[in-house]
Amino acid sequence: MNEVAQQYNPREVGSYFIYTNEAHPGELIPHHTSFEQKLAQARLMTDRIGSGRPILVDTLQGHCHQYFGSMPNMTWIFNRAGRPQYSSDWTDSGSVANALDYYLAVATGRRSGANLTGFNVRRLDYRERDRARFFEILALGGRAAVEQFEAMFGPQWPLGD
Amino acid sequence: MTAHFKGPELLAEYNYAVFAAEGFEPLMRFEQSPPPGSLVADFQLTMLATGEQVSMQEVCRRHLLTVFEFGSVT
Repeated sequence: MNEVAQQYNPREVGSYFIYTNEAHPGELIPHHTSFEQKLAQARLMTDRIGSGRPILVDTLQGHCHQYFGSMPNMTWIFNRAGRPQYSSDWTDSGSVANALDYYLAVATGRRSGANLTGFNVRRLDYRERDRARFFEILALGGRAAVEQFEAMFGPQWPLGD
Repeated sequence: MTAHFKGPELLAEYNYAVFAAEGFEPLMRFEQSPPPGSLVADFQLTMLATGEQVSMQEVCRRHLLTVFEFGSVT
């Protein structure tokens, strides 16, 4: 997603990371009990996010996150009028880039005088699962985070899923 | 305006201490989230780098398109 942010920034696309609750709290990175703690743990994201995507921290209660569905790693794309154009229940850079190309083409068409109106589409996008990377991130929270995940989905996840 | 849907407001429910189905599944309501093209509520968020409060809708006005990825370090 950092590469997508850099690639599309020159084309009037802003990219932000909204910090939510901890999806997999553990003894090293626990659940939030204060906003100051949430800010401190959000700072741990800075290296992963890089400088191209400012981090916006949601309230301790997660008002924004809950309003938009509370998925642990979802992505939304808004137009300048503040209306959502795209939402995905999981983040995939290929899916986001595909959507951005489409909406940038819409904007170009409108600038050229095309009379375009929106309609709804339902479709399923696909992403590659990287088990090793997932468990690497999971372990950041601590052993408890890994054990709790394995207790729910089994140590062989996602095999057989 | 799409109505706010009610969700767990208690800190302990949203900020669950243990990853277990009874903790996170009630929170996950993507199918009830605002549909594309709809008017949505505005939210104040804290810019981590500066500590300033920013309006999500104001952020959108700065760009032709704005990508918001939600997540955490875990």
